[in-house]
Amino acid sequence: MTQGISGASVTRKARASREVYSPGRIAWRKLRNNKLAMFGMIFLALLIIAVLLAPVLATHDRDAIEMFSMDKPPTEKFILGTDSIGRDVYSRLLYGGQISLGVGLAAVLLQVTIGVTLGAIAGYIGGAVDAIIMRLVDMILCFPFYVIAISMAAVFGGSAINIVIIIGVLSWTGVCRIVRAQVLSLRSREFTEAARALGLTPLEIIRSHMLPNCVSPIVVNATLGMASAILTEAGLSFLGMGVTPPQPSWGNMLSAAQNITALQHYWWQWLPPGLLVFMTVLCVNFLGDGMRDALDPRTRQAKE
Amino acid sequence: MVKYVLKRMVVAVPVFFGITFCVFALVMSMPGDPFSGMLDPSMTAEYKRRLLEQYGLNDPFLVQYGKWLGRVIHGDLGYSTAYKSRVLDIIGTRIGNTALLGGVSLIISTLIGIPAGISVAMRRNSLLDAGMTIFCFFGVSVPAFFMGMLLILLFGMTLKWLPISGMVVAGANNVGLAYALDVARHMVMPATVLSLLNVASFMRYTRSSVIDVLGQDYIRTARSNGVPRRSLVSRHILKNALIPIITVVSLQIPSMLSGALLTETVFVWPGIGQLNYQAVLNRDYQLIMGIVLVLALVTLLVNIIADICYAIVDPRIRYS
Repeated sequence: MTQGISGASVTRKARASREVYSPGRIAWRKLRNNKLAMFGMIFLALLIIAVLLAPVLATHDRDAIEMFSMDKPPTEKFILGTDSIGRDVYSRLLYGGQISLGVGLAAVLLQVTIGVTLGAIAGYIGGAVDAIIMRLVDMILCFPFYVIAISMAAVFGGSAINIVIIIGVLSWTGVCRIVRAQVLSLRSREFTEAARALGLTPLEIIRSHMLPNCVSPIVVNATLGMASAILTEAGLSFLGMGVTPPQPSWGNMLSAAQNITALQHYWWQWLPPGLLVFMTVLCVNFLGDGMRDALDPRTRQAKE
Repeated sequence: MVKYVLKRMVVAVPVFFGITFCVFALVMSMPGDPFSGMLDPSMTAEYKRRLLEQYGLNDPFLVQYGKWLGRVIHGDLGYSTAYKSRVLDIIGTRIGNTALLGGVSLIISTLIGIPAGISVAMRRNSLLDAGMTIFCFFGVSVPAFFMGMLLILLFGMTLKWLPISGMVVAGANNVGLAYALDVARHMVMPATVLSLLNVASFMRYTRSSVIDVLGQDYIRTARSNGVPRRSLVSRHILKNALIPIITVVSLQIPSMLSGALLTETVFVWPGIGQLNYQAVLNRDYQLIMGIVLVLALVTLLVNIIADICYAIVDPRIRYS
């Protein structure tokens, strides 16, 4: 009842101003008014551009070793100094960003793919299949994350692709639960029955009639998932179980600080990658949280 | 209630077997064998083969899993080749240290996070709320090991206030109060790092949960009936808002055990996380398996207890 009235008044208002706001535009306007989210978005955009332009912006070759310039502090030639074997830290930061951001993005894509597929299957078929998939979710949630992650990294060996697989395989449960709950609740609705009566296949029903209903929670979950994926890559690489040198990643550059001398005297080797991981994760979290507020109709009401 | 508890237990059984099976499969597919790390040049291929035979490492996969599970049921988690000691004993000496560190951090973060979350929820959109929200973002975004290293650099090396690694001063052999103080000094930095993340997440959950309850009709009703603010907060708001917090706090226990791996490694805290890292480096299969098993058991148990607590506090769960 209340919904009907507010719906009618919105239409009237919209007609009066001759402008109709789609849900997407309302969300975008809310997001645009969120300062933290906008800050995050701009920072990430600049970072992505910088990282993609690494070959142009880098002053040195990624793996080029200057024999007599090890552990040198920042100078004009080496903007952020050199590491313990004489490579340019600034150039490696740019290339390392490609790996760190790429791993985060790829891991999220993988976890969303697995989560949506299994969630839709569990919700649509139900019964024993649902029970098995849900036990699988319970199981994965019981795994102590870093414990199992370093064991997996030790088995498969450390590389960017393996890190993506490890994170993806261990963190699809959130998306799976969201999709399953949504599909389950829509399965018995009239429009689903109508679609079935029209002869649509389950795949078509799920894809075009059910999934569009859970796009917003998936997007929010994926964004926040990217933050933790970047943190995980950094953590595993820091332990020496992730991306292996000479390929740089922010995580394995940070492991320079495990050396006490470097920690105390060569700040340029570990502080910049650490700050970049921190800032990136912070901005992704800002953006994800802003998107949650913008897309969640409950907060839309609460904030008015 | 009994029926609910039983149902919950039954669900946990396949999960438990699934976990052990997966981890066993993973550990068995590790490259290398535990003896190749010993680098004893006098070890002949024949002797190595005999050792592999003796430890049952040449058996078919399912046989090894079955044998292992059979021993586990009798409390035998195997023998660590690197530490030359029973896995259960090694874990026993370490898990107390992890529990101490984790327990202290959990208490600190609960005591700070929940009251802070309540107070910012009551002052929504104030300057304090905005400041705390940003603090929470910082807390969940900073890599634990990076934070740890900054603390080591600042308080351990530059100011020299706190010890940078270990749990006690090596060779000090303190007893009684002196020992407790020594441990406490070593614990300040790792506990701070572990608590930071939890304070942030407890605060965020408490805040949103309290805000949720504040918008409910029964709060408006209570207000309009003239319920005084103090009893409104304690009897109407907190009682309802803290129910979901049970889950959040209990979920934090296993993630603390697992997240402690990085913190313990950075501060060389002799806990189970650091042990696990060493075990992976040493390819100590039985030890890895034992640690994962113990941690998975703890996680399962904590989850069951949390669900039961939840059902006790909120009758709606029991009857659904």
